[in-house]
Amino acid sequence: MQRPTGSRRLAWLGAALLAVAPASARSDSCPDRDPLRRPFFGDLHVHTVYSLDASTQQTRTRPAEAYRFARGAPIGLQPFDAEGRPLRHAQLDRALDFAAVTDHAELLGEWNICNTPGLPGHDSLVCRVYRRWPRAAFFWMNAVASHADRHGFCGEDGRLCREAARAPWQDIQRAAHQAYEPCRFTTFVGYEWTGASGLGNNLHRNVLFNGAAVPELPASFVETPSPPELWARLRQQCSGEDCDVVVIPHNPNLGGGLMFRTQREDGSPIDAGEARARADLERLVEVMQHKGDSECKTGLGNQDELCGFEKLEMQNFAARYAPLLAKPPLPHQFVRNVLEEGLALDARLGVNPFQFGLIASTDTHLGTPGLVAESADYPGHGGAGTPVGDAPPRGLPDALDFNPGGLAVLWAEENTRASLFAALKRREAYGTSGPRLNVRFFGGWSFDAGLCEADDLVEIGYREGVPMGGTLPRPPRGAAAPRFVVSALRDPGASGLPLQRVQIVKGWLEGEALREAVWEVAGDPGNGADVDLSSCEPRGAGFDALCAVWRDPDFDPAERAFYYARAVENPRCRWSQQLCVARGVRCEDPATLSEELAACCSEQHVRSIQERAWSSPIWYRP
Amino acid sequence: MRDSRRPLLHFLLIGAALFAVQSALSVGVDRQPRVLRVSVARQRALEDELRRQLGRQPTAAERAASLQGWVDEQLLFREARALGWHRSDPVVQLRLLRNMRFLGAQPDEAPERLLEQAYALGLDRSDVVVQRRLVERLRLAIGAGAVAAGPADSELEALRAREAERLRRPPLVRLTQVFVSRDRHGEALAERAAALGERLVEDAVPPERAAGLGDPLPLPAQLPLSSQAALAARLGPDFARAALAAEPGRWSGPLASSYGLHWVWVQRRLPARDPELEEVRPELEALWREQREREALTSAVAALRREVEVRIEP
Repeated sequence: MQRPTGSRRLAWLGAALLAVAPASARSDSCPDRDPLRRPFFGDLHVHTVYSLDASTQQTRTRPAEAYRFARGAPIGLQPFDAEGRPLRHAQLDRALDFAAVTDHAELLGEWNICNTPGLPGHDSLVCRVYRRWPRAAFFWMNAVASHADRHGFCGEDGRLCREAARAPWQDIQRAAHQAYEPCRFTTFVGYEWTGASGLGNNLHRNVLFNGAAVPELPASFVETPSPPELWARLRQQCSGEDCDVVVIPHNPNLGGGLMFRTQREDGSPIDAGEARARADLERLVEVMQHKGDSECKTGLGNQDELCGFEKLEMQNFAARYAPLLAKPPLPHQFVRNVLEEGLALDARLGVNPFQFGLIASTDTHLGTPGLVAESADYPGHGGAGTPVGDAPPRGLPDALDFNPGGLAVLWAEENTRASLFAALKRREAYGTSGPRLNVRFFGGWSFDAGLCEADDLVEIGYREGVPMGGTLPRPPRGAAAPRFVVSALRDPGASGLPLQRVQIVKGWLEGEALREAVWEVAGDPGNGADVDLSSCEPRGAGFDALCAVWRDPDFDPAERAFYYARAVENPRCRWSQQLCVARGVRCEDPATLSEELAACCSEQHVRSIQERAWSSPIWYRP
Repeated sequence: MRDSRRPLLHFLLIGAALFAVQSALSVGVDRQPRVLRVSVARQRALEDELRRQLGRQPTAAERAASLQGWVDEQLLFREARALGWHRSDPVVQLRLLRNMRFLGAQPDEAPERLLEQAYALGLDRSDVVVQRRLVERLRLAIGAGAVAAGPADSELEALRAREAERLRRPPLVRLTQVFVSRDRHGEALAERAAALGERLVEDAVPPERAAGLGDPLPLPAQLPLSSQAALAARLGPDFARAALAAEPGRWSGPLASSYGLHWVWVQRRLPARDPELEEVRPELEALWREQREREALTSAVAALRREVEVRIEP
């Protein structure tokens, strides 16, 4: 046999110096492009095997599989048997239009080292614990990461772990690029910056890039241990024509009020520069996901009973492991209160750092984007929730206060990265707690009271007003108050229920006081619809479509304000009640109640849910 | 002419330059031993690692695969060394310098001298980071070499044929719909829809004039070319199925949607079709690249395997 010849080596060497030719560009628009835009449904918060808290829960889904799942392919889920066969399966009944895998940046390298024999650090104590007792490693490794620290096996300055993060980060990019099919399915390269403050106060933010130009390595909490440092690094890594980025905070409901700070560490108030840096990148907030709803809480600045929705009754997640630390939630853990605070900061600084559009997503740690049905088959969160054992769970697959999460909806001309990313940037977006509601919301000064009867409502909305996410233009002479038009259509799919009502929520700054109010604008809150909790059959009538033109009766042109719409379905059984019913639990008959299903009959069990959509706000500045 | 031809030209030029360098360098490279021994201790270590990963006793096939993986890695490492990369790679140099300093070398010693000492001590052969770096670099280079010239259209055509079923575009329709609202008409819905249909048909109302005749709905009256799935996403699965079956060029209905009843005029109906090459080129190129990289690595490793005799100590 010949020794390797010079020419064979030559081929390898020569090519190593060349960049791969870029994929051919497409400039033509999609055949179904709609200049008046349509809603695209997706999930922008998805963890796969590369997230350490997912892999320690036996998740094996790779990014490419997560994208295939989003397009409708079936998937096998943990737990796995001795031969590596999955013991649970899932499949979407409707494909998503877009998705982004957002694994934790913090432990990407650690994950790779602990899973790759031969890499230095593979035999460290931490990695041995990771392989043997994943649950213990989950706490240990995340505790270190949440202090912006690295394990010893990462070497000087954490270099080894940073180097080891390259392979997973490249696989994440490759999966996103290969799954992107313009006009049919869009992906974004992204990651989660998993910052914390104090004892487990969540500062987590998802970072999404518009295209193929992304940083060589994701800036994690370790390198950028505060949000302002993250923004500065992102702006430095990602600027110019090729690269753009948005940052989407999530779970302020577990942030102890620290996710949206109005003061620096030293107690001084934030200045206009910091407010601008935030406003530049943080265009949206994830208002709802597996770990609860962050819109608002009844009693914190409002008496809005619909705020009693998917609540986690704590200030931060540490309370889940140490119940003695549990304290009642604070106003600043909720988006509505933070949006109001933004008005006050705008008055003081001339820039609103909290001008957030609203989306929802799942935060799945099983790699199952868009699996949002309130169903007895909800497989659980797969991360910070209840660990899965050797066999599929016989009781509830997760903590009672977790839920299947929601969807992000983007109003865009066509299903491409450029079109969807532009929608994120201008906040023409809304969130749903799962169903595919179609919600339009425009604000303007000249809308006719009969606009809902017009065939060209949408054209007029754009021509004479601004869509959700926008800011009202200056009032024309003689205009007394802005008018809003909101239209909601029920989810047209088989699992959709009729709508019950549509509301408009207003927050405003009256002098120095933050105020809020909720108006019923369409539908019927007293329609009497409910759900039979013993069979989960929904009962009573509702609406297929609701539309209203609403004029703010209390408008004061000197006061800053925001307005958003909330569309609410008739009640249905929550996932947990579906499961309890499917397992034959009847709380009045103890014989039907096994130990694993005890939660079905606990006092904390909220049995029904009114699914909903939250539009992004429209702002008014004097 | 497609872009990929230019990299091919670059590749040839750079290759020629490198060939000269390579010929000069390879004088003095050791001939590699033609036998690779796998010691008993190594076999045991590999098996222990495997057991830890699986959490059970590995099967014979799993043990063989793990051993083959180790052998292949050694072969790639030797090959990278034969290319002289253990001397030229900057990451390797940094690592060796760090190791020398760790071993207590004089801090003010010149890096060149420290490196010479490291090579004399054989640190470049025993360090696992050096090995992984060189193996990884060679793997990437083999893959990149295999795809540098870009695919020929004929190769993409073959892939397109293989993937035809998955790539097939669904049938599309472009239609105008006129809506009758269930919310508004309740019990009288069917009657109302029938009256509307009568009017549309008897007056031969052209679709572009029908917009104002129905109830308002914040969806386009004129829906763009849409697949069944796209129509279902807007108006529900029943409507989508019926609209795909409607005859073009006339009023059909009433079609039930999730919101009420509709009369539909299909302007255009495109049957399912196989996409043109240009439409799926990026996707096929990605597939081609993945496949070629994998094949190139497999055949490179196979060639290296043929050159050595692996002796597994009993």
